Amino acid sequence: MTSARFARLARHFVLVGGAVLVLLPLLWAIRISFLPAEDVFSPQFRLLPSRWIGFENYARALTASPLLHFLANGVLVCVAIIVCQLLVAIPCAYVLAKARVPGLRLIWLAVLVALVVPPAALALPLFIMAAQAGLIDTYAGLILPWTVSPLGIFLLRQAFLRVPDEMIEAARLDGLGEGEILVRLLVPMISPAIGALVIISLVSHWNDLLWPSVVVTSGAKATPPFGVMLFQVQEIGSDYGPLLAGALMIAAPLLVLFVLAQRRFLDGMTWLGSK
Amino acid sequence: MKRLLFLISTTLLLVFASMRGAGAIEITVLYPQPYLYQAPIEQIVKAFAAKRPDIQVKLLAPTKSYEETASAVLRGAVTGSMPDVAFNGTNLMHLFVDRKLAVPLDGFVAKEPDWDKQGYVPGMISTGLVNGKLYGMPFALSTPILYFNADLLRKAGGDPAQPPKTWPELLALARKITDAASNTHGSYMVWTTTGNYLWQELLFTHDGELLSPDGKKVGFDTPAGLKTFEILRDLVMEGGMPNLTDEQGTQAFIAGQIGFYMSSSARVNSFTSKIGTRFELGTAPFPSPRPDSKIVSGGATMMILAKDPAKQAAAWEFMKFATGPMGQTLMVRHIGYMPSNQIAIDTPELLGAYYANNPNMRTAISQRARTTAWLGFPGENSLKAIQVIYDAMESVVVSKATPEEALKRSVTQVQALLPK
Repeated sequence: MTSARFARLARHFVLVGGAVLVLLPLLWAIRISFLPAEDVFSPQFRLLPSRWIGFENYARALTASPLLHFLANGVLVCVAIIVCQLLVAIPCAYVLAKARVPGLRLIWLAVLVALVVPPAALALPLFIMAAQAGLIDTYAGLILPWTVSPLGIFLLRQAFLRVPDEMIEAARLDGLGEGEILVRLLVPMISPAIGALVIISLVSHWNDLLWPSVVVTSGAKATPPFGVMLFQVQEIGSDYGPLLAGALMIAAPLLVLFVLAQRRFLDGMTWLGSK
Repeated sequence: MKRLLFLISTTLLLVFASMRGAGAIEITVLYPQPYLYQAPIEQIVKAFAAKRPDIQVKLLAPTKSYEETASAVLRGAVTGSMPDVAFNGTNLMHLFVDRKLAVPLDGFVAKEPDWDKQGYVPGMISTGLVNGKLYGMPFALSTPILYFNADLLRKAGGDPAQPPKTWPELLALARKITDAASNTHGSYMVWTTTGNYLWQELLFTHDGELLSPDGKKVGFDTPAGLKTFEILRDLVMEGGMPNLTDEQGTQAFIAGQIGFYMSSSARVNSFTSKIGTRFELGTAPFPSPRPDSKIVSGGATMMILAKDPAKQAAAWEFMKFATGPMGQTLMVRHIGYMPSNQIAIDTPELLGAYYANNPNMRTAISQRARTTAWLGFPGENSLKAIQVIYDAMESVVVSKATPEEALKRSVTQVQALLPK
């Protein structure tokens, strides 16, 4: 075997090994989701369950709480949050990156400070504000606090900074208005950054349990993590089979979406690189 | 003509108004741990609606744990949106009492015509007392019990029909069970249980007190307090207790690697399904120096938080139903906690047959006359004080401190944390 081939083989080996290590918790969760209760804590390791229970754990996770309803709520809330975040962040980041207006440095500093403050620290004041505004247990209460995303503004500003000024000048000379420049020229150019923001925002708000558990009081507005929370029992020990089945069902839409978006991601990268 | 019209319209208005006033009263109810409580509580609400259609019970989205329910109630107090009834952890009742959110129940009890005939076990009702006044009705209580692996017990020469009753007996058997070669441990106690549950059990079975009679000083600076740490040390030294977390120790017991396992009776149902046929599971009363020693009991207690007198009365009716024979039967059938109602236990159609067929469930109720409340430390530093005891227990379990040192340190530190 030539040394180049050996090197390639070794590279593959290391990468595959790393991938398996990262995927192992997921594979383990899938394994447990198909185990009956008495197998979860067996002293001997068995790859296959002692008796095949089929999708019983998944059925329990789906029926013990209205998981599909929670998933629908999750989709509604996350889509609304992301749309609002983009509507706010894109113009904001453009101004911060390209405009020459006094006071922008102060605003940029404020964005950085907001970036550093952890959301959990704001939970209590946000809760009081939401209660005073009558937004407890409403979709608006779930969505509004997250519509201005400092991370989004930060990411998109950095992306806008990389766009050469000459391009914008040229577009202005061609007679395009500011809004048109933004929407038809710049947004497609920074689409990888927008894609990154969408994914980060989606994952964090899909899995968020802290804010919904503060704001939601009736089951009708509950979001996906509530479905998993059901099986974590402090007093008697969690029921791991249905718990992991539920967790996998909640993670599945995100995984599918990521696999689909990944292609767009890579396309964006190649386009940028080829220019 | 005009006067007639006026009279008719006023009468209609009055009738309308009084009809509105006699409409259904709605009360909101908040509870934790839906895995355990959702099924029985929903059934109880349905059964109650059939009995009292004029009271509508609205169940709010359940929370994950007792602490989260308490947080939700405290948040609701700030924004004026507390639930009318809350299922609180027994050791967290003082949180609501101290802030004057909980409604005292003595007045309601006094108005009941035949309270002592309704079947409430006095020992268990005592878990709802705070500062001598009744604030909560126990809904689902558990006590610490002794679980054992009957197969391992037999191999060590013990008799599963006669499990050890005192600590010396248990430690002697545990030592025989411990076998490093087969990775078997004689005993494991879930001393990490929330709120120092097992530690208070050790304290109260030895006639110890948590606080002084005036509630301002530490009450466990006594031989009983020392005994709690000595037993922990003995479990490690003689009983083969491994230094494992709750999850790990429970896993090991379910896998058949531990002889004696001490924890809440709440785990019986879950153990029965998780152990399956791997080994024979037995339960016995918690080891104590005397057969009538006091034992700690805790779990979910119902409290009234409503401010409106009409809602308070409606909440009281719901609470009586949920903690009465019907409600307790539904609760036990679903989750197997201790019922607080004697009528439920004695009546064959309700629970009599259930206990006849499930011997492992009988252990908890055999202890119910001896129960005393699971307590929380008073004041703002309650959680810190719990942590102090936890750290003291840990230092003994890992052999970093002697029982005497652990006792001295916990007494000093808890004393500093109590309200002046």
